[in-house]
Amino acid sequence: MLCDICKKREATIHIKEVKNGKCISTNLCPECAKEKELSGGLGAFGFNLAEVIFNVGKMNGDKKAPDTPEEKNEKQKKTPSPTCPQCGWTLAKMRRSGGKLGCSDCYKTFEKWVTMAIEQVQRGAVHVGKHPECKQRSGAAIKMEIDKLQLNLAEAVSAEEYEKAAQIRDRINLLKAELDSLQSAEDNK
Amino acid sequence: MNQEIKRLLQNPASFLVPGTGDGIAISSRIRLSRNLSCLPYPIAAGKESAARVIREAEEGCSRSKTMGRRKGLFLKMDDLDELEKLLLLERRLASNELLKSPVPSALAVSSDEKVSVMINEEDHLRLQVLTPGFELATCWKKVNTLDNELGSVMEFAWNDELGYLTECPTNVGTGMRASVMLHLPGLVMSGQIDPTIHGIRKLGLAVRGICGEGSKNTGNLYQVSNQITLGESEENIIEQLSAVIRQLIEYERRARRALLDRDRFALLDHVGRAFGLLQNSYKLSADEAIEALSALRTGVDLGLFQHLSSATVNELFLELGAGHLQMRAGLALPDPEQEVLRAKLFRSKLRERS
Ligand SMILES: [Zn+2]
Ligand SMILES: [Zn+2]
Repeated sequence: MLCDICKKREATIHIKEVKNGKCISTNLCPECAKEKELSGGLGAFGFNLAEVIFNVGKMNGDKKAPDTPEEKNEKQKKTPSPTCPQCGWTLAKMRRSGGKLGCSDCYKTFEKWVTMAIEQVQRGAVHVGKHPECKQRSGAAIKMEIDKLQLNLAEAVSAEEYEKAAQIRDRINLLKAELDSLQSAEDNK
Repeated sequence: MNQEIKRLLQNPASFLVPGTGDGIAISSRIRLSRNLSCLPYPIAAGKESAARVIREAEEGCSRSKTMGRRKGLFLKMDDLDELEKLLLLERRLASNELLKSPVPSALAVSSDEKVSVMINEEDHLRLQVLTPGFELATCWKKVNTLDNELGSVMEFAWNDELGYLTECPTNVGTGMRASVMLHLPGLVMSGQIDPTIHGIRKLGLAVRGICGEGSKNTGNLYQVSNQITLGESEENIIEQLSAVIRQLIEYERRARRALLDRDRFALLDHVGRAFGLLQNSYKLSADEAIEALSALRTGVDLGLFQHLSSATVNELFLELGAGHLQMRAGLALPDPEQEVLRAKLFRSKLRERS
């Protein structure tokens, strides 16, 4: 498929947007996409997530010479492309769909790629928000909240907001107790 | 025609009922992505598992107080014709993805139309709350309650580290997308919109034109939303977004004031001509109407009209849509006939008010 803008180079970036209630897809080559982004025509998420993930090596300035065909074959033999045992999703499908997954187990099956995607598009690696009422929070999430609160505590103290500081300290103690009981429960397993 | 959908036409869309504030923030919305554990996402699902999701969601919604229990609507997309689907799109109850879902999909709407659940859109469930004005806190409270209600009868896909699991890793964690629709004619007319959008994007937020991107955006309507869903709590994400929205509203106010100070008559002329166009046309395309309606809205915000309220502007904004026009006419019409009908709508609504 050729690029919609220059109509010369091969389009590798596919963008879907909704205009006037109609879904419009745009196909761009990397050069034209870059230009469009610089002129403010695209958000970071306008890019196909798959492109971002699968080009991650290049984006990190991976200057290693490209593999020879023999080396490539060798690599493919060693690491067969994974398939999700639960839903049958493959890397090829993930790429074709713009970085989407087939089921919740895919997060494990494609952990390596998912982790890369998350590093690219998210602010942290651990969920710190709401959790279902029946589920316990992970130790990592609790630790993260404690870290954040400790910063807030320091700020409150230096601003001489002692009442606020006391509240934050209470919350930290509560979280530490939660963390302790979580860890002792794990040790008993 | 589906009688339940026709019922929707009797009321103004809930998100367009005049809200609080000065008309710059038109509406607020929060969406939560949720999936049922152990079932493939719609993109990888077969008909059977998709049907199971619909059944479970229908059961969950019928028990949810927020959804109005059995008083709400429950629509299966396969049962609807193109006009009915367009109507749901224009009322912002359904998304394009829902209407084009490769597997059977459905939509639950609360009796007051403020809350809806899209079923088998990108994720199994997309819970959404829409309110007029700048009311993200209200949206969050409501959608959070709905989430708890549904979560007590179904098991959502969850991972201790990553939080709520979603079809796309861009939504993982909170699964939350909060957005505010803003009317920014002042920033557009004074040429400040592009640098402003650029600045907002640098803050890690998304901005898009409601009716087209960049210079092709008609109607000066923009949607600003969060992009990050993992690593921050819902409250923090909402607060960070709200801070930017408050700033944007202030910029827009200043831009309007500056335009009035610099050349009052230019602005009055712009509004007056738009009013004349809408009041006297016999053929109106949707783009033309949306563009002129933006000027009219600006005029109402500035208090230039005595007999025209933002409620009327909002009503027209909704009714000018191809779905609403044709649903009211009761049949599908080709574009030229829609244009005639649209012009007639504006003539009658605005002649009442002159
Ligand atoms: Zn190109
Ligand atoms: Zn899977």
